[in-house]
Amino acid sequence: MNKFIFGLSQNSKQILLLKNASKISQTFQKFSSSVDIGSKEHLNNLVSKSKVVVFMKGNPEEPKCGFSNAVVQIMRMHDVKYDAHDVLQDERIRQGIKDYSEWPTIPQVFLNGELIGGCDILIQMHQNGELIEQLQKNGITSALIQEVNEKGEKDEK
Amino acid sequence: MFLFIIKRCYLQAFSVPSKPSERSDEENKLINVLKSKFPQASLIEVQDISGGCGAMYDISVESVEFKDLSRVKQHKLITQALKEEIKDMHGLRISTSVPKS
Repeated sequence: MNKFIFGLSQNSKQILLLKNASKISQTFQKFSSSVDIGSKEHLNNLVSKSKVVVFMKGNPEEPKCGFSNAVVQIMRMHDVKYDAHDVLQDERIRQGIKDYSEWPTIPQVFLNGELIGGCDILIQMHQNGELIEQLQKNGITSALIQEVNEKGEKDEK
Repeated sequence: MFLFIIKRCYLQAFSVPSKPSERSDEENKLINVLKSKFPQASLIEVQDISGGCGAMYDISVESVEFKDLSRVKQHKLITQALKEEIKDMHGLRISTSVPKS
């Protein structure tokens, strides 16, 4: 495909006309921002960056929604380190993550790159001890595991 | 008047499931959609928890169709069934389960 690129030389009065510049534009695209924000590739990178990744409204210090806050509190109880992404900061991420996961609501919790659920599921898993198990399977030791061992039975809340 | 307000707050705070005759049109609509998508469901409950605004719903479905599926998959079946209706909602709470027998 023929592309014409107009460029200004050092002598600004001269205008350079480049024919067949498709190769040059392709190279240029390679070095510019390679991934669109909110795209599958971009979100794939985000969910793979850490073992636990949370898409929420607000941030862990200041959640902006009750459901997101519930997730933050559960993570705090288990003392889990995670990447948090505030979807309210970027509409592309807010919509993108819903399309990526085929999950219509926020918050979304990813463990090892896979969606384990939203607030409802996390609460259930927390209450029945499944969360501790899942974290353990992925090499994360929950802070509540000592309590479980001490009590000799699963922690209810 | 004051007693009326307290009574309403009490009812909403404890979110008692509504009787069939007291359900809103939207609650009934959601129940019907779920009934058609989950014909083998043994229990379907839908409750508007936004004080009648239709902004937030509490949805419970118990069905053998959920057997052996992960929680994520179970919830996705529900959200896919209610795809159109969810567009108008602010949020929803989902509980899924498999019959004990």
